Amino acid sequence: MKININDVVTLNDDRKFVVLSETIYNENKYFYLIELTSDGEEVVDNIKIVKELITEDGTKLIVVKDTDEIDDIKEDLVKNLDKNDFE
Amino acid sequence: MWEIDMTMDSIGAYLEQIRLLKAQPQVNDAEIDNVMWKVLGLALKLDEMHERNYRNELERIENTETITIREELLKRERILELSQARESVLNNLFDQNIPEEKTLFDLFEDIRREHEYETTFHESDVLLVKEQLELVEENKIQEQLLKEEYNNNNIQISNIENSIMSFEDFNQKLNEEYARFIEANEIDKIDVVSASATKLVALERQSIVSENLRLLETANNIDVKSFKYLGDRYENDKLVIEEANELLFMVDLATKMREEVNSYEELQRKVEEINKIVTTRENDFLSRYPNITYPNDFSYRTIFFNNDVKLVNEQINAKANIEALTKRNEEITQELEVLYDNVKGRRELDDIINNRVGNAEVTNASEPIEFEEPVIVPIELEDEEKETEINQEEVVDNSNDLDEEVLDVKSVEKAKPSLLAKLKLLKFKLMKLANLAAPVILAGTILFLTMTNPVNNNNKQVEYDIPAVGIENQIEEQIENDTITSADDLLEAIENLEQEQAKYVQAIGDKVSVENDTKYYRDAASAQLDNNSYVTGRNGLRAENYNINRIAIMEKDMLGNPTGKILAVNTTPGVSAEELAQSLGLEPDQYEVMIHIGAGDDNGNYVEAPLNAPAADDLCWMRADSEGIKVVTPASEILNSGKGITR
Repeated sequence: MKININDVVTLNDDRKFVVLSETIYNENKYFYLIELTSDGEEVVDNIKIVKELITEDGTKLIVVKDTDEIDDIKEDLVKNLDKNDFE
Repeated sequence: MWEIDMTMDSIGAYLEQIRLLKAQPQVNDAEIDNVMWKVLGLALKLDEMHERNYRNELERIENTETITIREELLKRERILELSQARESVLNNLFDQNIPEEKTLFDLFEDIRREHEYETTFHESDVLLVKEQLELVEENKIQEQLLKEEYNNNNIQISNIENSIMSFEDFNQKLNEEYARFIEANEIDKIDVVSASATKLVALERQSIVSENLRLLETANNIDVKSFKYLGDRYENDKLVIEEANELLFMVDLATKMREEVNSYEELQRKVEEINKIVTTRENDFLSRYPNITYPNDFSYRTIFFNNDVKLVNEQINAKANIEALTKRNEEITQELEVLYDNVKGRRELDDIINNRVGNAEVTNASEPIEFEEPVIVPIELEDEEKETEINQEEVVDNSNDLDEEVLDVKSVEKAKPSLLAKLKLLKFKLMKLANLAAPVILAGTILFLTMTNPVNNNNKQVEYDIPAVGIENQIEEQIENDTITSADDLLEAIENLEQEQAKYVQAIGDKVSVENDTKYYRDAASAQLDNNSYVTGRNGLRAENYNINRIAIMEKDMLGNPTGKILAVNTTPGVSAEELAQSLGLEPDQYEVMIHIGAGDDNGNYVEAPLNAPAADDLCWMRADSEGIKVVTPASEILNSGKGITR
């Protein structure tokens, strides 16, 4: 499953997130996500920065908690978000 | 490079076009305005290109390795030249003597100032490196002086050591010298009795002659010339007495010189007494014969015995003098060791220039930061009726918790347009949130963003690159200072937001009162950037009622800073700033409003301004949120009444 900007990602626990922006750093793909309500219509006050991990079991998203790692990627994520016209 | 040349050529051509347009029989202000916009765009592009080249070249030079301080100076001078060259581009682009170009020139004031600041920093870098080279030169001179002193001290120590004598030897040597003096002056041959008698006779005779001379002054009927010899006799006796005094002094001196002493201390007293005797004798003689030439026999004799005092003192103080000189040489050795410590090495300079933290500071910075009791912040949300607790300790713990949280993706689908439209409205806040420090991002809420960015627009500075060390403290401060701690605070925040929006209620056609000391500007961009302001009551515009005839929506960047860019200008009566901004899809914190005021017709009635064409009085742009501006009669009221508006 390829994840792109403005895609709604549904997790195994049925939580939904929309992809706001993405960037590649150190050969890893990172996404900036915001959570949605269960019907996917409204935004929930919860954002995450995640790293994509493609395994044999499918695509997994690892929540980035290392502050240094966040500092390394946040600027690119902001730039790409700025370019996102949400269309 | 060709791009820069082409852009420069285009700017030159457009500026020429402006001059030609102004020289036309019928000046088309709108067209001039249009060309000015083009020039502005090209100038910004030109600056970007120069900026890019400058940054690339700067990076290249910065990465050049230097070994010596002199090489570092050359490197810093090249960077300074580069910075100055970049600074000169915008300084020389426009001719300030031409009003239109002056306007364009003023628009770049902030950018020019940034360039200027950067050049200043590079200048200080050059000065810092130069200072080190000067310090090295000064230290070299100091080093030479210290080394010379060190060598001289060693020579002195050696001389003193060689001159040290036992008391017996020194005393014998001095006695031999005294014996030679006594012999040379034939003191032992002096007949003391005869000298004393001669002196007494001369004194007696001198006394009688003195009395006779006194009587001669008052005597009558006497030939004074026949007593002329009395004066000569008096002077002759004076010499006789002096010679007798000298002989008797020499006898006394010889007696003193022959005194036996048994130690350096006794010898010191003896030579000092002899020195005192000869000095007193010289002074007595000089008082009687003040016109005697110097040096003379008496002064030579005083110097001779004074030298003995010095020699004795040198012997007595030899050990202490050697110790003092040895100690001084130790001090010199230490001074030489640290002499160049005040000079910063090339690496140290590099660290200072690039603001790199020294090892000691790193050690301090890495010390664990102690937190007070966790602050729990309840927040009431009126809309969503939910209460959220943000636990600061949790935020801090999250930042340190590296256990992986893995989300398994079940499915992926395209977002609905309605959702995307909602996200578009949140985009600005999401960007700001992502720009914050990592621990704040980890907190993961937009609500938190509201807390860390107070609604007050003026404080809406988002910090980039917050240093990792101290972030926790920063969050603590932010929570302490900015947290919405209750429903009251939330209501207050909402009120602030409403006030923020209410700042821009002015509409085209509003009659407004302008108070004294209100700033006004030549154009909307200057008004937003607060460049080249004038003040009512001081610069021509009087404090009275005016009509709003134009509204300009100005851009703010994502940090909330003004950019000087006009997003829209409107002249339609009744259109409010808020409506205009909303039609552009702008959030309240994404723009600012500038208004243009006019005096109106002869009766003060609002006159609609032509779009994009300046009016005769086109000088009065103001910030819509200026405190000195109050709406007297809203445009809607005037429009409804059908009076007070003319075209």
